[in-house]
Amino acid sequence: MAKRSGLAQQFYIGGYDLSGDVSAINNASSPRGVAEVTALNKSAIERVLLLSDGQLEFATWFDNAALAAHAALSGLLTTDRGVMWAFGGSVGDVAGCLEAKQINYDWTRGADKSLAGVVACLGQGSELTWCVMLTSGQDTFASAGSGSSKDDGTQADAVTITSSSVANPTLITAAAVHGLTTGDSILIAGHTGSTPALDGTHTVTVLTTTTFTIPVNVTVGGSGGTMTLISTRNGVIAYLQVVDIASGTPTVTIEDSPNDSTWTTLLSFTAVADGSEPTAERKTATGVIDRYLWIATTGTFTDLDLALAYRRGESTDDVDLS
Amino acid sequence: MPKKTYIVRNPRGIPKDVHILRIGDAVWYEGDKFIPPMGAKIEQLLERGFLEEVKRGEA
Repeated sequence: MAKRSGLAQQFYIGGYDLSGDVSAINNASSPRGVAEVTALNKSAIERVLLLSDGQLEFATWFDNAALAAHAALSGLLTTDRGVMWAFGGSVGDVAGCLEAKQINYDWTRGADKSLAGVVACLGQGSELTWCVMLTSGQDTFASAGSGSSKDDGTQADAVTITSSSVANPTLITAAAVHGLTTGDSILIAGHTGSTPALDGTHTVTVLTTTTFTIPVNVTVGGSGGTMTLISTRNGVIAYLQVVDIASGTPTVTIEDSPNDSTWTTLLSFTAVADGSEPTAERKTATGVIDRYLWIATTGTFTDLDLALAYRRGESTDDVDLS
Repeated sequence: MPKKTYIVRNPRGIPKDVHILRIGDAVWYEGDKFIPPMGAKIEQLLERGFLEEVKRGEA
């Protein structure tokens, strides 16, 4: 990624695609309370972080066409609304996402006869989440199937391998503290001499801070190479915008894979019947998440238009999804 | 020697009508019998509770 402008952005709320109606994002933030807890024996202020909040305020032009801004916003729904501000139309683009209460729909008619509205959305139990897109902006699934896989790559620095033992499962000895936990996925590269070869992805069982096993029956030990963590351990948060369905009832899921070939369902959004869209949903999943992700859709339907963004959880998050 | 057989489990609590595993175009749901396709790596699926081996006589 690189520096970029704010051109060609997209905006969704509750499944409505308002990209053509929203003129500006006035504020996208996650302010957080701070308590000053300085003790007598300190010479500078100590602070403890308190609750976070999410806010997203945007400006819009009046548009009373079907499925446009007035239809999306004038109802002032009291139910939660999923908001997605996507920075572009490619997989991997940044998107600010928020589960929110829409608190206003305010208008100004200018002396120049302009008609400009402002809408504020305040977080509903979660902060503004900075995600990445798993769709190319808005994608269409003509029928059930999967999208393109997204490779999130390595999650830690490579650690040098000293040796692999003759054993089943083989014992891997690292040259330094490996930092793994049992169940992690790793990628071994450049390991030589072993039978069978060990390069590729494996799931580890940790024995000590520098040793672990992988489920391979090694008959000739090897040496060298590196191992890199490729899974994450703190769950995932995902935001879905269902814009349109031509017919049927699709279910949208996210699947993960350590190797881009064997996939497990990571989370499943609520099935949406034609006529119930536009709609949006936020879902979370806990635990280990593998390197590759893709969208998969199931059910009988035609032409599902959707946008989906996700964020892998981190150990420092307010809500622990490990 | 007969291939080992496994039962698909649902450690992530996915709804019943959604598949748990996918390899190529094939999908498996919770409770399905799973015979690993040629070349499939299933160690991780076992480690994380997606598969449970069926002991002889239980199938």
